[in-house]
This record gives sequence, structure tokens and C-alpha cells, in this order.
Amino acid sequence: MKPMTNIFVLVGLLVVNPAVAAEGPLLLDNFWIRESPPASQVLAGYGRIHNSSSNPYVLTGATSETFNRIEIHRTTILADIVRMAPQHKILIKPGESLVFEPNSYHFMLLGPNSRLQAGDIVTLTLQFDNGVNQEVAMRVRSASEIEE
Amino acid sequence: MNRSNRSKIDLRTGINIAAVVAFAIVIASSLWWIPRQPHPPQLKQATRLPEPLLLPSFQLVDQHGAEFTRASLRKHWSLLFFGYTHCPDVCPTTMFTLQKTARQLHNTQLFGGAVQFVLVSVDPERDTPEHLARFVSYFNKDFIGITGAPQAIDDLTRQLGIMYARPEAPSSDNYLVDHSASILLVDPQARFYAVFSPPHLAGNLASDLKKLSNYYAQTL
Repeated sequence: MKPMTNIFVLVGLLVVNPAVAAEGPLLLDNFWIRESPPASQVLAGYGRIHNSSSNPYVLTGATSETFNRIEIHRTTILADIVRMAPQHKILIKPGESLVFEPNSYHFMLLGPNSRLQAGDIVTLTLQFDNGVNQEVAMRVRSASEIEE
Repeated sequence: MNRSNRSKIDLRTGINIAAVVAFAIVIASSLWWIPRQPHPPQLKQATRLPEPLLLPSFQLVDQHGAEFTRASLRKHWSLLFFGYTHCPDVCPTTMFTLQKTARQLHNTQLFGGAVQFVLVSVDPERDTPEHLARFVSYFNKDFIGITGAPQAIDDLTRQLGIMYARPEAPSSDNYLVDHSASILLVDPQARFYAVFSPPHLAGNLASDLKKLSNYYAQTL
């Protein structure tokens, strides 16, 4: 394949699937937000961050113009009790992934500035302790799109 | 051999045959009867209570503001889940699993007809009936959400071993509530009948519920 075609394929992929961003040493994929009932003031976002570099990365937070505030939480279910604990620093070792998924790590998205519906795209900026800020596009998915 | 001897032998043979026939009838009927004793179902996810436990009386309101009491749980199977609408992760995940369960049970004949799906709020300060209405109907228009005074919720949860903890003095309006993850199955006599522990899968919930309903009908 010619280099030019490669670029078109890459651009095409980004347009078709905005949840995939492959920039730099961090690979971000399957970033999505669960569509929530009307008037919900709290939503959850998920995705996978893979550290393909040889340095550790520490996720310290996330921001977005779409939400008043974003917290990173981890759900645990222990002895039948569901608990959510805020996470302030999460280490991602070289070659390892951090997976945000239902009933585990999630971005708690507080105070959306409009009602988000399936298909909407929201941009989040992930913040790391080495000063790296990485943007990621998250697609809002309805319940029927989400497999159990 | 004279006549009386022969009749004695005939009599003895007759008695023997009768005994064998009687024995065969006993064996056959026991074989007939044993499989008809209902066997407790083999369940994928649920744990059935050895003795169903009548729910305590309680007084809450549903998402339309109508009274919801123990009597509201009679005549149908009900699945009770404890959660709150400001919970972004586990509660919508479970509500979605219940939505799928409802869909899978759609054409199933269960004792008492359609299953009631009930979200019991463990955050009554924020979960008004109006708020619950928007939340539960998003998942299924027939789902029920119930709320009420904290004391009234405790009346229901305490006896069922359901735990939840609200912060004493929340610093913001976005406080979190720890709560039980289990889904309780309540039978058509308003008795706590079985519990589904996490992780919850719609297919397991639906198939266990069918088995439990059949078993319940056989043991009435």
C-alpha cells in the first residue's frame, strides 16, 4: 500500500470510529459513555488505556467541557456490598492496560450541560502526572448497544 | 392327590400370586410416586430459601405517588433490587440486566402472570417519586420504583438483611451510597423466596425464575 493510501485509511478509521485514538505512547480504545435516563445528573464512562511506552504513566484525572466535574471511581462488590471509591492516582505500568468497565473502574461524569443521547460524541481530556494531557472522543451508547 | 389337597395347593398358589401382585403394585406405585415428588430445581445463580420468609409489613410509595405495601407484592412474582438513581455504574448496569430479563420472560407463562420488577430506593432524600419515574421508565415502562421515609425503607430492608449506608453529613449533593448488590425474589404470597447474588446475567435470572416458579406451583 502506498504511504498516501495509508494516511487515507488512517483518517478513514478515525472518522468511522472516533472512539479509537492511537497517538503517542498511549493507546486509547473503546471509550464510551452509557446513555442515561432523562434528567440524570450523573453518568458513567468507560474505555481502555494501554501504555505502550517503556515509562510508567499515572492517571490523575479527567476534564471535559461537557461536564461540570469528572471523578474517577472504582466499584467493588465485596460480601454483597457495592461500594464506589474515588481514585486519585492510578498507575499504568509499561506494557499494561487500565480498563474502565461496568462494575469496576469508571469515569463518574457529573452535571452534563445537556441531555446526552446515543450517538453523541463527547471529548474528554485525560490528565497524567508527567504533564501529558490526552484527548479522547467518547461515543454515547444506548442500553441496546451494550452487550451484557 | 385328593380334592381337598388340590384346593389347598390352589389356595396357597393363589395367595402367593396375590402377594407377588401386591408387592409389584407397591413397587410400581412407589416408582410412580417418587418421580412426582417435586425435586428442588438446579439453579444457575439463585439461592432458594429453605423456608420462604414472609416480608415485614411496610408502607412506601411508587413512582406515581401511589401507596406500595406488602399487599402490592401478592399474586405475582417480584424481583426487588436496591439502589438509587444517582448511582452511575452498578445501578444502571443492573437495571439494564433486569430490562433484558423482562424481555426474555416476555412470552413465558409464570405462576401469577407477569413478573414485577421493583427498584427500592436506598436514597429517599434525592429519589423523589418524580425522579424515580424518569429513571425506571427509561429501562422499561412497566418497571416500578418505590421510595418513602428512611424509617419506612428500613422497615423493609432490615428484616431482609439488605444493607445500605448513606454518609452522615454529605459534603456535597453528589454523595455515594453503599448498598447490597443482591436481587431478591419475592413469591406471589409476598414471601422472600430466593436471592440472586452478583454477578447478574439476564439469561440466568430468567431461567432460574422459570424453574423456581414451576417448583413453587408444584409445592403449593
